Amino acid sequence: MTEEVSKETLVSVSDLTKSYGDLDVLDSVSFSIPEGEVFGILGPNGVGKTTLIKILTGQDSPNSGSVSVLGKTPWEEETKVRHEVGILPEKQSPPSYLTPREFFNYVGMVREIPDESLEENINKWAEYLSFEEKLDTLCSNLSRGQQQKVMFTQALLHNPKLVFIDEPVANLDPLMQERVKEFIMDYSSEGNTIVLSTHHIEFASELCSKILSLTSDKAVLLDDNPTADELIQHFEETW
Amino acid sequence: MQGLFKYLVKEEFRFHTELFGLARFVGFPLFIILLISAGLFGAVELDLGTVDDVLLSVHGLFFILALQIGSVAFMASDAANDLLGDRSTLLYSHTYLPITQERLILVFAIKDVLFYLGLFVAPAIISMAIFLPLTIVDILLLTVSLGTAFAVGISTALFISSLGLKSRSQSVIMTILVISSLAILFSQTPLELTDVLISTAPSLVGKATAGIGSLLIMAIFSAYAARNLELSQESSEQKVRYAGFIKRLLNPKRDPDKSTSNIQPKTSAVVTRTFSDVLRSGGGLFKIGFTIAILVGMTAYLLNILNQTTQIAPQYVLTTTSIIALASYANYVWIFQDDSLDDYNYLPLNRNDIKSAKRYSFHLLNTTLLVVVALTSFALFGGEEFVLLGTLFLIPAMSEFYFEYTFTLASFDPMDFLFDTLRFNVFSVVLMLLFLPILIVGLFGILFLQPIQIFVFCLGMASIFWALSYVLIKFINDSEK
Repeated sequence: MTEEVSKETLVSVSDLTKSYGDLDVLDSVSFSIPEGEVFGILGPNGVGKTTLIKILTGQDSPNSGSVSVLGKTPWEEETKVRHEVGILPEKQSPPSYLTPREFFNYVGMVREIPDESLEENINKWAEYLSFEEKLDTLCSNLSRGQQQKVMFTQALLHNPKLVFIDEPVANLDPLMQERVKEFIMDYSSEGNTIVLSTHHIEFASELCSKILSLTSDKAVLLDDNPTADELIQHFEETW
Repeated sequence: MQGLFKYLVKEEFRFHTELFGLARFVGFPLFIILLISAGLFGAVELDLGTVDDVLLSVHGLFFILALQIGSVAFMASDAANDLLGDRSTLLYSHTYLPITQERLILVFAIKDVLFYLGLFVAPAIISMAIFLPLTIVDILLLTVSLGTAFAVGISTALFISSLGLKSRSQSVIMTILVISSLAILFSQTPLELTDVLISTAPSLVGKATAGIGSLLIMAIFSAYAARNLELSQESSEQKVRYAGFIKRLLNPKRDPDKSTSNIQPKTSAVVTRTFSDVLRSGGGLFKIGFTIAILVGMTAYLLNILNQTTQIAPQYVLTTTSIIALASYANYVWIFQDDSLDDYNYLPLNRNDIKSAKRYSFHLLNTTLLVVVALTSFALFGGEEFVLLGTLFLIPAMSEFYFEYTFTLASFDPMDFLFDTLRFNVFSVVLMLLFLPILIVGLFGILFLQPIQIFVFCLGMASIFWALSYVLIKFINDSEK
């Protein structure tokens, strides 16, 4: 209990509302995320998971409500927030005509990562995600899964203490999905925080200590490491 | 074959009507009639040449237009994603249907030729029938002749696109070849060229020879293109080209103490990405060389005609450079077409960071090309040193203004703006008016200005362009969020 209290809150969201025209995507959503947590955003397609991630990373702004990420309002200080956090977007691919190595150098320049640690991190992640032999191949020639690994790596090159991951295992083979799970657990055990959006119930239940369940009409916060069975029961009642 | 043709036409029609709106699309041929009629009216009223000269010019312009339209094929393997967004077209259906790429491309090319014949050539024929003293037989021959020139242009562009040039040396050699061919073609006297056109060849044998020759060129070029055009990237693993150039752009800039460049690392990173897209995508560096070659060819052709007609020697350096500068939109498109603002959302970059990088990239490409054009014009056609110097002062100012003015209207989506015909035409007319003093001085300045005065004029125009750019940056572009 004492340990919980002493943890720093990295993300706090209060009464967040977002709509596109007549379509309400997020309605009075509130939650907070302390450091070291794996926080899941779970829900079927089209309920606003990606919109929420976009708001938290300053890519979009809400209609009302307040949001603080690392003490900043993301849509007002979007480059400062993005400088500190890592983002794995759902749909983005790496630039087609750069090689992964060139792309990581490009990310390194934008994020002002020193040469030595950049090189070290590139090699570490390429080895961990098994694409060392593809480092000098054009990204357009990589498979979807390999491109996903490259995007995964770009989000982690600067060792961020807060990472936003939108659909982390889409396009990955089962072996690599296990590797990603392992990574998420390891990374959070080092005190880092991960916010992941997914529609995979089992994946979320295995990894997340808290889950925000989104449906088309409400958001419910499920605390205390909900099991897959509990999640399924919850979703049968609400989805 | 007929079924495929029908669906390709339907797709093309829906694509255009979705982009332009039905009314504007249907009104487009009327716009062409008005445009060509205005040109023909001017040519007849000012007595700018014989009927054959006018016919020759129209053939030349349509051949160039077809080269330009056909050059879209340079981006064949990227087109589905880059040009059409998420749209998928029937042209790519050989990847999931039992149909060969050769057949698809051939039917697609026939459809394209017929479609654009309706859109451009038919209205041009109507204008010429109104303004030129032509008989029914002349009009029929002209229809065949102009259609053939257009089809030869399309098949030539397809053929060159299908050569798959991406390396620097191949690109440079091919650009020189294309420029030389166009220069030779356009430096012929009207009499020599009229012999190779179906409508103007003096004898029946001449007309038949011109027709058969054109058909042969079309058949060989189209067959080669159908077999070799790369429609998908997956067909072969692409080589990592221009790695040295990309590495130089990326390498030592992260540590400010080691940096030899005065540009921001963020800017340099986005410039790198932009040039990797431009240089490594379909057509490579050559697609830029090809576009410039067409523009230079057309400019030289028009200046040649004007020179012959008015007997006034233009200042080639200033005139050619400013006409090419007027057509900088193609370079603006190259810089912006492969990415969007969303592609940078996961990085700590804002709109202004990306715009700065795009401006830098535009100067790197456009300003450099204009300097090459100015120096080449000077080497080929000669001229006054003061005029060359003035032109070199003018180039960065024209580039800067062109970028800021275009960005004000087209922002990060030049293709969307290009398809917005009405706004794009207004944009072009305003640009033309601003460049008009330079064109007048370039074409006729010799009659009333000394070279040193032209130099001073260029400095004055450069100051105006810098001032206008400053206003756009200060009050419009950089204040946007």
